[in-house]
Amino acid sequence: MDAIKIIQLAFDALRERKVRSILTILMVTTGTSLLIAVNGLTTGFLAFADRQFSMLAPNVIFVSPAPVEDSGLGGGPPPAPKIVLTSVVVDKIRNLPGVGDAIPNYTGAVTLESRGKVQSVRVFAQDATKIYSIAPGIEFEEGSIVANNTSSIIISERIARPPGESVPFATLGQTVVVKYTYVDEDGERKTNSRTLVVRGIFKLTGNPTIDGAAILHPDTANMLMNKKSRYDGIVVLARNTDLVEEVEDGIRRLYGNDVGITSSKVILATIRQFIGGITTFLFSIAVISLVVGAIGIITTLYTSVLERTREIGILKAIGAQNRHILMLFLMEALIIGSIGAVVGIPLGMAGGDLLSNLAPGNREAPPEARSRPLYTVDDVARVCALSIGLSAVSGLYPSFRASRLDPIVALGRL
Amino acid sequence: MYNHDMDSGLVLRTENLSKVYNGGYVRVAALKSVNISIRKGEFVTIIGPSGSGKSTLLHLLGALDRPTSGKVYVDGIDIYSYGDSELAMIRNRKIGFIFQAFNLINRTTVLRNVEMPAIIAGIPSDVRVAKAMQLLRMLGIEDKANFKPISLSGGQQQRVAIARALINDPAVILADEPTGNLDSKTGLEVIELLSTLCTKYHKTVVMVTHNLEHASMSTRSIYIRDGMIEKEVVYQ
Repeated sequence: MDAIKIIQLAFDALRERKVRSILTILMVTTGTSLLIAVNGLTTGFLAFADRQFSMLAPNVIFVSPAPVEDSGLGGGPPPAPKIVLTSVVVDKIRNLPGVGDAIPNYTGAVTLESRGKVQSVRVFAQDATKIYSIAPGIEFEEGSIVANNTSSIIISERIARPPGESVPFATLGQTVVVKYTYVDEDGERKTNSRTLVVRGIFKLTGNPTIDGAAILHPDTANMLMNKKSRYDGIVVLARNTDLVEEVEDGIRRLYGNDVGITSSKVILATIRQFIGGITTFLFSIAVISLVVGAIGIITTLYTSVLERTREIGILKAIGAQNRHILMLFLMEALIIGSIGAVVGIPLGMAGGDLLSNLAPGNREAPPEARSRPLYTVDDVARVCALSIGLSAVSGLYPSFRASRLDPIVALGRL
Repeated sequence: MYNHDMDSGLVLRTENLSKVYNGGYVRVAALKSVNISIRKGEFVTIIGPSGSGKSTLLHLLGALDRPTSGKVYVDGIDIYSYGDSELAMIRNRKIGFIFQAFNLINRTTVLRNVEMPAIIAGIPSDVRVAKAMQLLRMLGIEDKANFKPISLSGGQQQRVAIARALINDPAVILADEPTGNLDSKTGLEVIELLSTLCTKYHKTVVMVTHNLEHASMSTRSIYIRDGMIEKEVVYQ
């Protein structure tokens, strides 16, 4: 009996028990699509995280005042940070072995006014000329001047041309009014404002934090945001990636736990570790679902063997060998697994895309800042092989049972 | 190897064929040293009361079971000297079965049912379809080729089973009470058909039956009782 005939006979048998076959295929489809969706979403998110951090140089270390501990009494103002990041601290860090540069910065939220419109933006105030050391991948629009100028402001493409707006918010060379509101020591609410010239517009990076930010000169930000020369953070550049840990140790020796130290490498590793944990969990659920499908195949085929005992007897009486019967039932399992995989793969992809679109963070983010599921050929092939392989394994026992049936006993089941 | 049976025209021969069933504490001797010889073109009926061992004999002649002792020769081949796979091939090539309950596969067509032994034998599609259609034509049910067996009458279904038994041109056709599920008129037609297969097409048929009228239409009847041959009757 040739393979094509065995496939035809297996199809006939599955068609005869349409509803049961479809339900079993559905079980495999569910497992396969879950695996594909989980795999795609995870791979996509990891790629997204990589993309976000690829903007940052790998030798970058972020230093900030350590988070203040809660007094435990509840209420009241938070205690002051244990360390004040001043130019002295910056110099000390800069002089540590392995440090290439230490770039202090101020951060905060301001409002920008231009052409009668207002936008709230995040400010990142540092020496603009050193932006390439921190984010080597950053690109500027033509005509931009990246200079350390107190009357300049550099804004992102999204601030300059907000999505959905037909008229630009600001263009190169025009002025914008930057306002910062705060409450001073006397309890007075104050608003500082400065008029600055837009000297640069940087292209979208895909990182929503960077893409919603403006870069100011540190002195301008110090005055505007009433920072009193207390930096919010220091970006430390190790001379090379291998020195990152040594520099971290040096800073830790200087200031202990009074500073928070993190590097792009560590952040990415943490994110990867976290996603890895979640993925393992979700993957286990998907595999369990596929195993349920496999048990469905065992049940379906085993029931089929019982129902078709007489047919097996007839086939044996007219000369079918054990291996023919084994292949016939195994083929049914393979067909169930293959159809389940073929249907489950696109369904899983569609499901992954749908879930990704429904996720609140993704829905609100601009297209370039969304995490999209990523389906690699390798992953799809792996899931496909797993689905079909598991189906074949599930079919082994019922097929073996069918092949070993005694023809006289089988024919006796009339 | 010299094949004495073939030379002497023997298609089927048993040599001290015995079968004992072990059922826990009980041993049942279903067949006791049975010796029969059947020539090519003979229409032999096996007659006996229930439990006499006639079905056991038919199963052993058809390579469906293994004897406790003794031998079965089909076309001079000692079939039980072979393993299970070879035995399946012997069933496929040398033996055609016809059952009381027709035993057709109802989800597929009449044509596919008839083709099935040829499919198992690996005969090319065009050859086996042509042969199946020729047999259906010979049996007068050519127009039912694409019907499902379940939609046919009992007599027509048994004709499909006969066509299936003939497709691989077997050495012997074994029929187990083929008229048991048919009315007397249709049953008689089937017996006439089997008889014609022997007289006109020189096929060899061995049939188990209870019906003495049907037995009288064969060339020879072997009476079995308590697992032994009681007598043989040759008809003119």
